[in-house]
Amino acid sequence: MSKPRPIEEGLAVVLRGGVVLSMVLVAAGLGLALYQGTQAGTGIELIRLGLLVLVATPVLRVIWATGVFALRRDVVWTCIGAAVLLVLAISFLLGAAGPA
Amino acid sequence: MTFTLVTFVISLLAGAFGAILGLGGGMIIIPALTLLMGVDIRVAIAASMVSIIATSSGAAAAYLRDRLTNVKVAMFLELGSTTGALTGAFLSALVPRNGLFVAFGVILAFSAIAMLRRMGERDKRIPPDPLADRLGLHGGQAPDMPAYRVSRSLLGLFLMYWAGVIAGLLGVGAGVLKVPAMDIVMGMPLKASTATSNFMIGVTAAAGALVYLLRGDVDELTTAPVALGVLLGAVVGAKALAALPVRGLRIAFVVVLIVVAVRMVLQGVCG
Repeated sequence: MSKPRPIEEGLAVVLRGGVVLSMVLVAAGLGLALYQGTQAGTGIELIRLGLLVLVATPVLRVIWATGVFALRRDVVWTCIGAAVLLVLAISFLLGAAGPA
Repeated sequence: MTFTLVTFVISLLAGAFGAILGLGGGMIIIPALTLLMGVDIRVAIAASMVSIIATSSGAAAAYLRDRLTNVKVAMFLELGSTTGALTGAFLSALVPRNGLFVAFGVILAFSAIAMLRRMGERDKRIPPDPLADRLGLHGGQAPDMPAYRVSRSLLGLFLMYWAGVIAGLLGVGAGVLKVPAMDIVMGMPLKASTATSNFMIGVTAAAGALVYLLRGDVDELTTAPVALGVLLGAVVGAKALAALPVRGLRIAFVVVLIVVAVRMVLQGVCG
């Protein structure tokens, strides 16, 4: 059996993609917002979208890693990844629902 | 415009510093924004949550390429840190803050001593760890780092839970606790510890940051220069880690631990 490609490579691509995309969005939005000099509008919307991409990136990399382990039929590590995702989902839902 | 530029430059430094030491940079961002720039504390905390993720993601690609990050250790320990952060968020209304700050400060001071004692220590025999063997947690060789064996993984998981609780309670990334746990307890090399901590803090902070973002607590015009600065800083800082001397890195980390420890105790005692 050939050695599988190291998991690091795919994860690096996911993370770099998220970082570059969010930086472009945030930079474009900030430039536009400063140029327009407003507290609302397309610039602010772009910044918000960019920040959303940034925050979603680490979650996406857990999903990616879990998917890779699942494809390799690695039961233990698929379960570990799924458990981390589950805790993240619960934290998010409780945080979104509660005041705090 | 001046506000944006100054915030950007401070964030650039915080990102580079945080990426190298495995920290989120919140300890720099929050006081810089509130004390220096007069930003509201709520806005500063939300910006700091975003900056933790920016530091983590910005540096992670480089650390993965340099094979410094231990992905399996990170995922294993995230079980503890995310559960702990969830617990901490719940406890935050119940636990007296002052006592917490003092306790956190004392833990950090002890970590500083333990990390100093590891200075110049070589290949100490570490206890075997069947769980680490079974899960395949041991670290492979990297261009700038020898292969290593991971030890006491269950104790590490337990400590990460508590690091997560403190992160949830105080709204910080708790990288200052994660790095010593991997360095002292699990016997990982310092560079692997900071790179892996850096990798983990983004996931621990993600759920909280997403809530802040959707609830509208994030001020876009403040957070945008923070995010950009921290991201760029982290990308640059991450390029430097592989080449940095471990000894200097350890001393820098211990200094940070002592500074934060003193600040936490003072905050706890003086209110």
